[in-house]
Amino acid sequence: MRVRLDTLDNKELRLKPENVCPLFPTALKLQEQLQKLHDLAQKRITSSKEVHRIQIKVKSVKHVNTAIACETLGVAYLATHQAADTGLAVSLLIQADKIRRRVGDDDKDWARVLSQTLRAAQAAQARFDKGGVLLLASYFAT
Amino acid sequence: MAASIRPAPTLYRVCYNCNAPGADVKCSCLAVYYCGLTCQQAHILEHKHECVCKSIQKKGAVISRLQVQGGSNGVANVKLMMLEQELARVHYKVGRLMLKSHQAAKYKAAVTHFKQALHLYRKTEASHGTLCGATARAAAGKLADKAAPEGLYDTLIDLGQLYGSMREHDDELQVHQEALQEVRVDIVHASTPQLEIHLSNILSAMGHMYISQYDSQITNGDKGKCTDANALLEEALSIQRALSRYCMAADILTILASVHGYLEMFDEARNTLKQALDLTRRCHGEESAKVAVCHQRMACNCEEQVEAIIKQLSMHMEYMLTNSIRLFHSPGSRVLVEGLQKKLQYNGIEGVW
Repeated sequence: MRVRLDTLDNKELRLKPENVCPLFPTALKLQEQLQKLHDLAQKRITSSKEVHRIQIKVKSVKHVNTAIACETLGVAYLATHQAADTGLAVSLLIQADKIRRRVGDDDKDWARVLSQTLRAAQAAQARFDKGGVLLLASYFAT
Repeated sequence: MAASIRPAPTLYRVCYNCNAPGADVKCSCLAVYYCGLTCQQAHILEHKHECVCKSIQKKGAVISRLQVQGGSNGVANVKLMMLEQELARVHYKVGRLMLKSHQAAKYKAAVTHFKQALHLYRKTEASHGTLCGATARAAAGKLADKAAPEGLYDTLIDLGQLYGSMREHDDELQVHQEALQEVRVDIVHASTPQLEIHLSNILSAMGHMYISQYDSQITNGDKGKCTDANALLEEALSIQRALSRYCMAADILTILASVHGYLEMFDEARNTLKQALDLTRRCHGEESAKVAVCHQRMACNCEEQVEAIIKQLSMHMEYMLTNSIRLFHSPGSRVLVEGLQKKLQYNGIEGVW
């Protein structure tokens, strides 16, 4: 990065990239961003709910696409990090896993990812059930 | 009692599906027999390819016979052209069948079929000018207007897609560029709605190719490909809109939204998806699978935007933490740093230290 000091002598000051400070958001801006995050999470849930509803209507419950829709909605609920939503996420992910087993899907990668997500959701629910302060360190440990 | 007018089935014919004797229903390829419609329907998936191949063999034999008769005979040449076009169409169908089977073992054979179809289409186009006799030329003109370019462009698009599935990206790009060049030349000569549709299809296929390459990390995160895809898809969209083909426009809008997502233009992506959703609802009804796909994309778009915001926030947080470590080593700021450290411990971020 170069910063021109004056044009008369044509002097240039070079800055190292590590010394360039990114523009920090103000508290107001941060609040706006958090609100945006909240709105996006809600929009994600609304869209996923619609997918889930249409899939059940079009393909009925016993279909692999319904399992995918359940998983998508479950993950959307899980991303809100709210106690009530986490409970819903766990039940939806269990439902997705049940449908997956019932239709006899043999996609091993998907099965692995689904069980990992379910375990993470159950751990999150357990932390909410325990009460007290949610420590970031314990969140990273899982 | 009324006597059946249907002749008694010959006993030596065995059903191709259930091996029962007395099969009296034959397939259109005349090579296999079934005991009834149920057996034929049960066996169609296995027999389909074999059946089309047999029809290729038969048509090939007639063509070689006509080639012997041809030369100065105008009518024979028109017949030959018709048959060659028919054969090209069959080759295209077989290739497409193999492509849609999603079995990598069949891809090489599919390429051969597509190439054969292309060769025959081009041969028909070339021989159209060399026909002698006014009647023959008129008949051939009608024929060429009816089928040849459509088949040629469809074959080129599917061949490109096939190369994409085989991960031969240079060939894929070459085929698409060839198709684009040909259709643009044809439009300059005579612009018809049909040709415009083909142009739009080729443009969207090329756009899709660039996105797939970007998505599968072939371009090493080169966003230039996404910009190219954006331009191509915008052109394809404007053509479909001008021709009032709203279903196709909705499909293109859905792909365009993915491109906007890759280019981190999340608000544009959401607007594009809203348009796509609106058109899809109008074309396919309120509760169709395509509407569900649009909603799914919207959810993905929200997820991507959340990830982008969190990435930005974490970058700021990292910078702040690095700076606080620097401050920690400056003696004048020890008191401040201790306060900050306490605050971080209280919030449970001590694990990060």
